[in-house]
Amino acid sequence: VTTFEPIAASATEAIPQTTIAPLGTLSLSRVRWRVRAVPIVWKFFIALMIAYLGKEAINSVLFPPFTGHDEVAHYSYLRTVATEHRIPELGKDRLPNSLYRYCWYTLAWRPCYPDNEEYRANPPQVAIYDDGNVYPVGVQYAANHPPLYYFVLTPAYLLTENQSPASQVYFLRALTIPFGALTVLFAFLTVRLIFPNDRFLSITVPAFVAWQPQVSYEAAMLNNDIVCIAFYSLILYELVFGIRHSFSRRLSAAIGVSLGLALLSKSTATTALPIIAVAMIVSFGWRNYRLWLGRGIITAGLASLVSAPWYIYLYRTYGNFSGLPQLKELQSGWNESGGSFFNLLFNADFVATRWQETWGEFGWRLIHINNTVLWIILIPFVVAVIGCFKYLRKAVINRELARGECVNGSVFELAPWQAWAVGLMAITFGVAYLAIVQFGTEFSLTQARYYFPAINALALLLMLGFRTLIPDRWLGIGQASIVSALILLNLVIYTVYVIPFWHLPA
Amino acid sequence: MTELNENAQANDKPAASSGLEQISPDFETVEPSPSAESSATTEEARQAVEPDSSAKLSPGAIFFGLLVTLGFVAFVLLAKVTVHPFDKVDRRMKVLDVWTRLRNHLPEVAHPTMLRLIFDVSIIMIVVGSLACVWIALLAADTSGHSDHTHDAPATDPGALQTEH
Repeated sequence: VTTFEPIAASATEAIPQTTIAPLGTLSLSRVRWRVRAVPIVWKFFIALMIAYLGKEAINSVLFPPFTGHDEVAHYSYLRTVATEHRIPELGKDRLPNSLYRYCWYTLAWRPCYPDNEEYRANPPQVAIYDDGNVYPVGVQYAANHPPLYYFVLTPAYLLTENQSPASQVYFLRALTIPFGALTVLFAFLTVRLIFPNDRFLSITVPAFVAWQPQVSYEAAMLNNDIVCIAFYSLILYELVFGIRHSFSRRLSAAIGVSLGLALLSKSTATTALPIIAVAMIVSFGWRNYRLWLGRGIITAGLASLVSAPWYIYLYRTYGNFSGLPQLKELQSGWNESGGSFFNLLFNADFVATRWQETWGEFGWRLIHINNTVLWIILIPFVVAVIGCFKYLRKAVINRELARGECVNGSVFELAPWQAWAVGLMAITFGVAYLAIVQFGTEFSLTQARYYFPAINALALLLMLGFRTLIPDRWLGIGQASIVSALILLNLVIYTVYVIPFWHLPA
Repeated sequence: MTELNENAQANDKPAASSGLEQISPDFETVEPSPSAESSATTEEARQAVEPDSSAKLSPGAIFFGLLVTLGFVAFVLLAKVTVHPFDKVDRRMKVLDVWTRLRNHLPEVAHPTMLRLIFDVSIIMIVVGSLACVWIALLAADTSGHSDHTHDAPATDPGALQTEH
């Protein structure tokens, strides 16, 4: 996917020869021209990446080791893969005793007395719960996660094996950052595909993804979430590419491989299946079933081929394709169903908790963001949603525009492919959110981060809402205000809540 | 083949206002035509070689940029905020002191000097990158939005993924 190179090449042709230095000389003016020739939205993206990488480097050392989501369990998984050359098993594998000192950051390794030497020497194996029954504790509960992330990190683990687990975690966190950077890149490329000439969206969408505090937190911890988010973002980009240019066999194959890798990263990626189907069907038209069926078979076939070893393993080990019944059994001492699907869907507490998790609740729901701050964030969010509805009323479809065409500079007059691409973003976020609602019907630990694979879709929709509400002449100030507000939000959250929690004496 | 021809013609046609209507679920499969691609590169070339067309900041934008920049700097250097080390525990501290405290309590996972250097570089990247983002966002004020309703072919190169049918 090359948008950058052709631009520079074509730009060279358009520049009068007098302004270009003689071939082979690297004059200052030539360098200056080269820099100036870079489209301004790419300049913004480069600046954003510089800030993002700096932020992620800070993130990876700011949080004490093992305080990220399930880092103890993921580290243990990685250790099993790297040292025993096998995948851990639910119900059989335990978390290493040496990690009992981090028992607060595991699921129910109780009683938890990390400072007690006797407990540390002989961590509890079972515990009596409120219902009077005895349940195993300190078990490996992340074993039903697919293995790709741990395979990728195995060389890094072995390289740092002589370090303490805490030191290893810092190093392994840093290796997760590129997946976060890829997610931001795909946000940028996706919006450039749908609205190639709209600077507002090209600037604000990747900025939202880069500065979303929880998504960037995910990208600086030892956890497979961000790998799935990155692959999911790639799939969204490929789907938009297909809607714009048609799903060729090669593209369908690429989507299949991406989906297979996403499925090998985290099972959350299964929500991409209906989205891919919708994209292909609307792209070819419902009646051209031979085309979309053929491309769908290519995609599904390759995705199955890539992910089959994992699902065969799951079936042979657990008798199902998720391991979730076994996980439910492990958590039976304290897990509670959240209620029926529709009860959760319209449950205000459920929505409020997801909202809190979207912006705060860093590290095992320890760091709570003040309700005032959450309300302040909610106001522009609601405004953006109102803008989205206004966009629905304002946008029109120009059916004379063929696939790949778009009206120069307008986000309100859409070619049919653009309308479907925007619609796909809405469907993507809807499916992702409904999936966490569904998960909540079985598991009390459903969380907002499970819909983060759809963060690029959410970002595009929200920024489209702002784009609709901000008058044309204020777009420059508007996009700068949104970027500034996102930076300020991060500065406040880290200064007021995160750093004091971990690094100030109580 | 018919579809391709029709779409090739569509690329050359000006937009017709009568063609505007609500979303329709089905549109046909087409391949971007060569003419569309050449228009695309032309459009991108125009954007690429004319970055200064919108790179002149209005006085209002300069004022806004200065306000944001000075505001951030003042906030970091001078502001006192109520920090929350734990729930229901509040303390007033200068923003700079909070970050200085973090700098002085970095984890002991590498040589302290090296770690502090990495920390400092990261902070510089955040500050420079963030301020650059704000100013570039101001520079990128898009005054061309909605202005012309001429057809625009794909502005990005179809790339390696899209070739066959």
